[in-house]
Amino acid sequence: MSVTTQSLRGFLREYLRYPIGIVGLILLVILLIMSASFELYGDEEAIRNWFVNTQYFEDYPKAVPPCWFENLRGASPTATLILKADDPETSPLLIQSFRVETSSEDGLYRTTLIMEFEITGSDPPRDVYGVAFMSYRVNEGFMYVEKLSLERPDGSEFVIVKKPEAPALPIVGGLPQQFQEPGVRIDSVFPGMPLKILKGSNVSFSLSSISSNQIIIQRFVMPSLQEQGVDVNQIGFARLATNLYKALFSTDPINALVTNEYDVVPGKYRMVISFVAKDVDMEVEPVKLVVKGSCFGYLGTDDQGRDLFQALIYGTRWALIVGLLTSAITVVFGSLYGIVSGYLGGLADEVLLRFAQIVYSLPALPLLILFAAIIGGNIWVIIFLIVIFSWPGIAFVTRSMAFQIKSEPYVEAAIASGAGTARIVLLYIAPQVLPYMFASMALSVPGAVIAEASLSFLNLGDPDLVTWGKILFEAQNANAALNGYWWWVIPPGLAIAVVGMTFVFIGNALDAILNPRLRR
Amino acid sequence: MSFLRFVAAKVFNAVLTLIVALLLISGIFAVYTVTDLRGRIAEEYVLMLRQLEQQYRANPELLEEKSRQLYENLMERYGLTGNFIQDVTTWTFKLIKSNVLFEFGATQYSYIGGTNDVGEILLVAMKNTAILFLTATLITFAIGIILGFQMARKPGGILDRVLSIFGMISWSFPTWWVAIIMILVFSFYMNLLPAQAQYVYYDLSKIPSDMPFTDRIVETVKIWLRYMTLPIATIVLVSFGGASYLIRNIVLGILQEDFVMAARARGLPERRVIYGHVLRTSSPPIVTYLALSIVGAFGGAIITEAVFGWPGMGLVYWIAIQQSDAKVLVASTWVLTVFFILTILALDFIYSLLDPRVRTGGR
Repeated sequence: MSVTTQSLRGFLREYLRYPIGIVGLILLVILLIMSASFELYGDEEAIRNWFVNTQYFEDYPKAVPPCWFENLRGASPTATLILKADDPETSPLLIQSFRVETSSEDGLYRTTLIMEFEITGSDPPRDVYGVAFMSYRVNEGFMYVEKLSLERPDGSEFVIVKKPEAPALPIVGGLPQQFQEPGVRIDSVFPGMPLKILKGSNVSFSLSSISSNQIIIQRFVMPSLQEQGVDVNQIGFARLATNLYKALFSTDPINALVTNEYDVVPGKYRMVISFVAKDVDMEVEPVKLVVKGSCFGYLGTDDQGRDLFQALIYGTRWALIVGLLTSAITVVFGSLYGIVSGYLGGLADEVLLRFAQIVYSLPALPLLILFAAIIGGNIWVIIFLIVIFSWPGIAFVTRSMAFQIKSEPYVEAAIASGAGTARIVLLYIAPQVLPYMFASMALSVPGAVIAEASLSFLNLGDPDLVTWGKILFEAQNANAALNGYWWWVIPPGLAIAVVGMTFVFIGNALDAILNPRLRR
Repeated sequence: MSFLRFVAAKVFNAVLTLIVALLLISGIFAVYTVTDLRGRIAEEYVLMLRQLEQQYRANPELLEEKSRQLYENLMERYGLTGNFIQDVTTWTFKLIKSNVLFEFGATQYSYIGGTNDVGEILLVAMKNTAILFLTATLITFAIGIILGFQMARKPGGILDRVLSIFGMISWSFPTWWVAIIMILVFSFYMNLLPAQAQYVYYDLSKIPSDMPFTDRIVETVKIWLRYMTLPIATIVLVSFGGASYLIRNIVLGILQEDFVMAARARGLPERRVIYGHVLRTSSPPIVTYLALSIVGAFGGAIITEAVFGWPGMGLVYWIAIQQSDAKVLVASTWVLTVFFILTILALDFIYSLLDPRVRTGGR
């Protein structure tokens, strides 16, 4: 026992003399931490829904850079905020920020949804929306939207929809019908809300879709702008529809509408929507409040809004599994093949060697691509395929080593005393080759990882697994590089390279210690 | 005679490898084809059976007879017997024949060069791949030889250390990923070079035909260079570190040989020792390494082509995979394999010419 620990300690001491080896170990620790961190910070649900259900990511902003980077380069981005009723962490905040007030006066039932959110950055958020679980039954007349407005931090209020006021002068014959009603019928503002009855369903109130809604702009926004003396016909409907959302957050909304030049007023905003009806049974339960910011998390999101940080840390385990397992099988098989071939010699050796040479001179990647495309890419099948094309290199070296070892006296003695081939190969020759095997195990990890990533990059990898190669495939398909989505392409590729470097460094240090004579 | 024997052994090896590759590729495609055809037959059978059932609803016996006939007709039309192994064998032979003759037929998808003939597509693609890959390899080796010799002259020096580590690091990067980064940097941020090379033919076609001959050549070369620079720079960037490091190792081994010391003892200038004696002696292992590095770099270079949309084999692969066009996939794999094995054979031949021991039969 003590001899083993001592020699292990001696080995460690020597290993630590190689700076490259130390760097390799540090990188390995980083990788292990990354892989383990998925257990801590990972979102299993996100990975499960990654390919099959992108609806899961609907609340995340699409294709936005990481927040720390935006802060670093001096921009002040608006952070993403997702408050959910079914999430114990954020539900108290949701209750504070998304309030429902009801009252009844002058014979009208009034329900007001108040959504409070804070804009911290200098970018307008991609969208702000609240989702409420609503059920109602309108017993008499209709339900109306009395008012829809955005209260801004500077104290002003942008009124988007307002009940038309009765004209100041009396009109002969009474007020026209629309002025007598307490507001605007719900279906003309929220096409998703049925006029009379809603039997329990989620209704979304999105600021960006409200402010690009044709009916709202034409019937409410344009007339009210005209009242304020803005020549809306000159701006035109299309321009209004595209500029209105950003203008809502701007210091000077009217100017922003005309020029599309905006600067965001930071602070607390309040979206207020109030419904009125003469007689209604109504229940409103806030479900979530989302501010889609202009940055997200540690590594941003892709064009489906998926959190790329999750993919990065989840992918680590598969890269390590593929790399280590493939190289272990490759090296064990290759070594045994080489030893047996070298030990047997003669015709058997000739045949085995020739076969290894044939496999060696086949173009690995094109054949891998073909096989993966036709057989289909289960991850274990892919590991098996990579092994098939990568063992001969190892076999050549161990074969020549076996040639030398088999003429050692102790092996000859074993042969003379009648030891079988299996015994000699496994117990007498293999242990001598072991140091070489360790070094080459580490050195063949990068090739295996890159091969798997290459297949995934061609969309031939395991279709159910979130791997780095697959992320890069999707990035390539979405033209991420040409759109400048660096956060989508750099981290996964760098991670692949880090895995490669880790084992190249460790392998080189091991090689220098374990095989001093073999270095040619 | 040893020279002939050497060449004969190499040719024998290459032929054997080709046969194995042919069997593998044709076999797996045969399995795919037969499975695919069976699926198609089953589909059609179900569809047509429904019609028959309506037609012969009154007469169940006749229906049975007719449906069996239908099945047999379908099998015959698609050339299957129903016995899986037999079918696969027949198809394998059929495919071996078409592969050996390089007759691949036509594809329904559009690739490059505006033709549907798989053979013609691959011819254009191979030409373009060869242009790119050859240029990149030559540049890599020119750099590798210069840097490798410099490194070997001062082992342990700054250049040696930096480049050794750079070689190790660059070995860990997938070439195609570096390609994406190059596009990000040089096309998106700096807007210097085109990211997609498919348009090279479009640009070429815009050269006015009344231009003087020499100007046209200059213009053609300019356009090719514009589109080639980024792909070539990528391949060279990823591979020159490793190449320099390996050449350094080869040269370092030779520098320790006695004849180098003898040359130095004779008072030859260091330059002549290195470029006269050492370069000459180290060329055979360098050529061997060249062969091996082509083996290693080829696959990565192909995917790199796909990233740049270079109209070569990589693009063909990319499109074929996206369309799941197995026919083109198989044909291009076969063409690549043949090209690949022939290249290695040619390099072995060059090796035998360079190494006097092989050439004269001495040991």
